[in-house]
Amino acid sequence: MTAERLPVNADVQHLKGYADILAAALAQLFGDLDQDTLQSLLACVGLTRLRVGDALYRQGEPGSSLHIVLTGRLQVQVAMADGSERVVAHPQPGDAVGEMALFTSAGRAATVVAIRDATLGVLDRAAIEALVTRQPRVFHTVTRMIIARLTGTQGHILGHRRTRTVMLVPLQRGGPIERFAAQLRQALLRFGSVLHLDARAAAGRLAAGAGAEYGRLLDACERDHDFVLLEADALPSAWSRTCFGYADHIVLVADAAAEPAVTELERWLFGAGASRPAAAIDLVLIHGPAALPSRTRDWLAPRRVKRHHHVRADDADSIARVARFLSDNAVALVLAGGGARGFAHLGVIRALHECGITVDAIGGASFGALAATGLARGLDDPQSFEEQRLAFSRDDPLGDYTIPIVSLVRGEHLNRLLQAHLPMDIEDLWLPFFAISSDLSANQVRVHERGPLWRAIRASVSLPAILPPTLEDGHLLIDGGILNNLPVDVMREKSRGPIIAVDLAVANAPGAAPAAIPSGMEYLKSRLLPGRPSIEAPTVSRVILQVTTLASRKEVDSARKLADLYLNPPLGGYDFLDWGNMRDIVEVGYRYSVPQVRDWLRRYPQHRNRTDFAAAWRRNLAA
Amino acid sequence: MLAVNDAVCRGQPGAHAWLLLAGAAYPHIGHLLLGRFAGRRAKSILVIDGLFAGAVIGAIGLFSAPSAVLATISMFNWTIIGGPSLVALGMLAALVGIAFSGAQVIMPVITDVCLAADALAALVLLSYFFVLARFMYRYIGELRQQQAELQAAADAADQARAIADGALLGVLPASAAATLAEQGALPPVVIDAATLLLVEFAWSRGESPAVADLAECFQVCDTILNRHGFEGIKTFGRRYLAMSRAAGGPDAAVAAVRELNNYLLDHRALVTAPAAQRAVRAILHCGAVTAGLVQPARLNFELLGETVEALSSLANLAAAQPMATLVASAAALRKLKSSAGFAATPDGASSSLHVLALTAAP
Repeated sequence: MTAERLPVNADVQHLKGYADILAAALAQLFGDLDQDTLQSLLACVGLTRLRVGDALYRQGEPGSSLHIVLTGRLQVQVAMADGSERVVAHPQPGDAVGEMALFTSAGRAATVVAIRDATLGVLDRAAIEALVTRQPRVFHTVTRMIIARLTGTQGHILGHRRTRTVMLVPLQRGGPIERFAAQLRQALLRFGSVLHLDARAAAGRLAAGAGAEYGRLLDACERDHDFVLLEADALPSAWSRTCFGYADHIVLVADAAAEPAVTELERWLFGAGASRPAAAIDLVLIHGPAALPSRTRDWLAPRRVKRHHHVRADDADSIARVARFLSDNAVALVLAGGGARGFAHLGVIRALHECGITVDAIGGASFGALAATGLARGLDDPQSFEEQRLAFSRDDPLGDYTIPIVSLVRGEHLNRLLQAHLPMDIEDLWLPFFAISSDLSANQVRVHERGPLWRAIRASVSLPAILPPTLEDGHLLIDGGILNNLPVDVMREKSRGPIIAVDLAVANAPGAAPAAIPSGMEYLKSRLLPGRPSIEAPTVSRVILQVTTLASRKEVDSARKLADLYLNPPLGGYDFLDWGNMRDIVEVGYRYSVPQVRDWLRRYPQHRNRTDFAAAWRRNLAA
Repeated sequence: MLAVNDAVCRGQPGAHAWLLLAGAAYPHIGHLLLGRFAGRRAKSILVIDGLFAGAVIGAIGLFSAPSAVLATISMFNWTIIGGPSLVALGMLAALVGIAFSGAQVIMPVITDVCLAADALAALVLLSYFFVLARFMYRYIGELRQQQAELQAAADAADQARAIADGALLGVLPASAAATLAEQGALPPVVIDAATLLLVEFAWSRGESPAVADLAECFQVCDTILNRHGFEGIKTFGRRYLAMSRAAGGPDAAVAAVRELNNYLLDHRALVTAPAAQRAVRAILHCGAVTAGLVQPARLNFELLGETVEALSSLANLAAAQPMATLVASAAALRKLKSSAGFAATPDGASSSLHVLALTAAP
């Protein structure tokens, strides 16, 4: 796209109030300039406007001008040898770009695009050469600056760009946006100062003289506040377009009971691309007091949404979750696989709740994925426990043994059980959720975050040789623990907040190292004949189960470093197939986690979201 | 069945009168339908049941229809009562019963068991399962009802717990509530360097605020002050008292009050009652305080000491100051990193008051 060039005038009136910021930027670039020189330079500055997504220039192009950001924000990206692009800087108002090509006469060293609607001051080579001729010491200042930039001392290598400006897009007229915006504003206050602007409030600020145009107004708002909430109009308007051009994060807000079709405002804002450069798009679906999420896939199908949130109307807890995601404070939980040891996850989750941590996103592999479904569906701790207890003690999910050609168990019992208990889609879960399976056909990890929940869990728990693999899109899927038993890396890609990882690995598993390997007959005799001491042996099923987690042990070790809190309950006394010891295993997970979590919260108290006094009373009474 | 067999098939009515009497007195049905099957009681029932069944089977022969019915019913009962492991006990008892009844174990098929006895056996079997089905239906219904009642009680307990937690937080500062819950007591604590902040909300037209509006003010105040290291102690009327134990408390208080003031001004167009403009005035003081429960039974948490009295006096003096100001004591001013912007009271009413006009948003 082409930048719109404004005419250059002889005096600084043409700079429309940008003279101050330009003067400061020029002083930073060229050192102290006398008044005459500065005025003559300002007279040479032209103005250029970019719309979000426009490229100012591309890497390798010849450069004949430098640019100073006056409003908005740019992104500097460099093409790497492997064809990828690395973002190296986000110039903001007052920053200069393009000066290196100007002085080195080489092509542009990077591509610069607008990630917000931006206004730039432009200074041509001729004006700068005239300046250097007039004041040769300028050259030294510029040389120092270029060397500093080339050696990286100006901090141009970027990490994550924090969300500052959030656009709220109502998908229905007269919908729940106003109330939601007010509640989100209050929820965000926990993490920093917040300014909430709608069209009327913004117009009021403009009229009060805060700035001559929206760009300067919004830059000033962002400077003074940690978060700026821009509430767009429900119909296409200049204000809505301004919000769109300025947001770091776009949140579509809809009444979940409405029709999920793409709205006129969305078509107008996003065009055919249904996205916006450098801005993540979230969808918030607001449900009635008793409604359960459904049809979410119909909402997601026509939109390019990074994440969606289910929120109960006027429910402070669920709105606070959205605020935690927007402010990178969402607490995510990753649960490892480990057969019956996975019951410990229920104890860990109970401990987290009692210590005041609200889990905002959850995922896992194998039994960890199964244990995560209770929380993701909104069940409380006793409900989750009871469901799993009944499933494993009454329904015998692995009881349909068969001739062991494909697997030891047919898996029909488990299929029926999962279909009965988990009939919903993953998108309809209250919490963001994923399950991991291992794709045998492609030899890679598969992340299940859409589609039928029961199929994802079935694939994730398909222990090789014990349960038959599942088939999806022509690919054979088996237990997720084979390739990634503790998928913290997967969660890290989805959530920038703290991650709590629960590993079930044990150093000395029962039967893993017996004194001697008995024959099958000896083992059977020790089990069946009275009066004989019980012999531990590495049985077929036990060895297979051990192998499933051994394979991904290396990945687990690196995942451990990515986690903010790593929990590894002492489950050495329990076997992979210890389904009968559910209560004990849950209790081990709980007792181990409470002191660990409390210690972690002492260091990071901002992640304590609520106080469970009743639990504290219970602990006190028990003590 | 035995009576029918004896009378109709064998022509010997009353041949096993003793067994009939014993059968009539046998508490099997009563136990099965009304009893509780657990532990030693279940085992003793199994033994008695097995002995009786064995005696009858022995008396009428092993391979007759009534014997088959009796064996089926007994096996069924034993499985329900004791599970597979205790079925063996019942069978053992039955064998003893068979031996006791006349050692007809090795007797061949009785030829004088007739159709009438078989028909009666079938009728008994049907009746038994009919009675059992009705009982199970009723019993399961009761179980379901009990489960629903338990669930309702658990839900009610959860609700009550949430309300109690909320109430505890409403009455006590969060840290005090947590200490009370975890330790069972809240002993008085002396805090040598506390920063006290009293925030007062006012409405532009002087009218009484709507409850919802005041609630929003307090909630916002709570959140902002918490982030700046303050803990809400209590509210009274339109005033909110908070305390910080941090060394940088006074500077944090200035930043928090500025933010609070800006928040209220920034969002005046978006508030519940748009016509009413809200403003804030705050009083800041530092010193030692004692914190504790004055009336433990009523959970009456108080701050005590000279510092609190001085804050109260300051609040009275500050009432003459305009809204959107922060009034600091000399002690607080000394602890600030920068006292820029503070001025002695414009009217010179008190040399101990230093007033900061809070910047208004445009």
